[in-house]
Amino acid sequence: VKLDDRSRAFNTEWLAALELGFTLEVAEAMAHGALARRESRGAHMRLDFEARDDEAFLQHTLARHAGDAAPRIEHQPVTITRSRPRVRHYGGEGKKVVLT
Amino acid sequence: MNTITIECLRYHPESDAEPRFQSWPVPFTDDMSVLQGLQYIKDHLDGSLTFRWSCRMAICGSCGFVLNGVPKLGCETFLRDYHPGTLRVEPLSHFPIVRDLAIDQSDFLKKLDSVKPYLINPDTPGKGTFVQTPEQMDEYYQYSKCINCLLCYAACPQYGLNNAFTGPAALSLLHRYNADSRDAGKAERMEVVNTEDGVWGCTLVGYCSEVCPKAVDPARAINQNKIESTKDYFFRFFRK
Repeated sequence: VKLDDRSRAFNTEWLAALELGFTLEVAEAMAHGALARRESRGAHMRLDFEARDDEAFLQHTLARHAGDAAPRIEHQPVTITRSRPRVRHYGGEGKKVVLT
Repeated sequence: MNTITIECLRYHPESDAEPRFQSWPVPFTDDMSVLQGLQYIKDHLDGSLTFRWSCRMAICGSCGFVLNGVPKLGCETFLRDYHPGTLRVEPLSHFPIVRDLAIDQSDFLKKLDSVKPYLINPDTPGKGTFVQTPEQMDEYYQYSKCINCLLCYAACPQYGLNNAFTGPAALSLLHRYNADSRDAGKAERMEVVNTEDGVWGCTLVGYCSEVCPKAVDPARAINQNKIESTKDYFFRFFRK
């Protein structure tokens, strides 16, 4: 990354460069969290694990910073309050759309 | 692909005694906004060009500029509308410049705070939800769409002459809560309304309402409150 702007006054280019670093860390945490989550859930969809797996993954993903190494991935149980987990249906009770 | 000349006001507080203009040729397609034009300059031509932006879809109110003399949001204005002419981009008028196209909006933030832009009602929320009819909602709904972009302040000649004037957005947000049937804070806000720098600072030019990107009508809010302010003044004698 190279900066044109060397100023200390409202330097948005520098800000974007700093944010790029943080964004990459978050992206890395997301990628490792997604690899560890061997199921599909909501927007997290895997072709190798198409079903939701509440048994193993009704869990929060916790990614812990580990220096230059990959983030340490841990899971923590979800506290269910009012809404019990159940199957989500999309598009008319999950029936496949028949294209005519 | 067409090319348009974009001319931006530049001002660097560390090295410029006063603002200057700088131009760049910017290639553009028909779907490119002015904001995208500025981003092209920053990404490819000069990374030090400074401007605020965030949502790119006219809901955050960050990218207000004066485009060829007219206050507009960069994100919802298209470069094609200025081609083949030159597009001149300046920071919003009437505010101090922090750098290039970024202005210091702290004066507005102080004023926004002074109008208490939140529901004041000792009965909420303990007694459950408030019921409101569509007619009651109509009384304030348009004013609630303000995104604090400050185009109206750049448009207001009164604010330009005397920036003690509370101004269009703050006064219409004041009205947004005064006109809300759930609110009981009107008496507290009338102190701001009644002063010389409150609604009486407005001379009904109406350009604020014309430039508003969300079709809020600050001029109407202010002038409805001139009536309220007059009533408030006379009713004081009866209350004594």
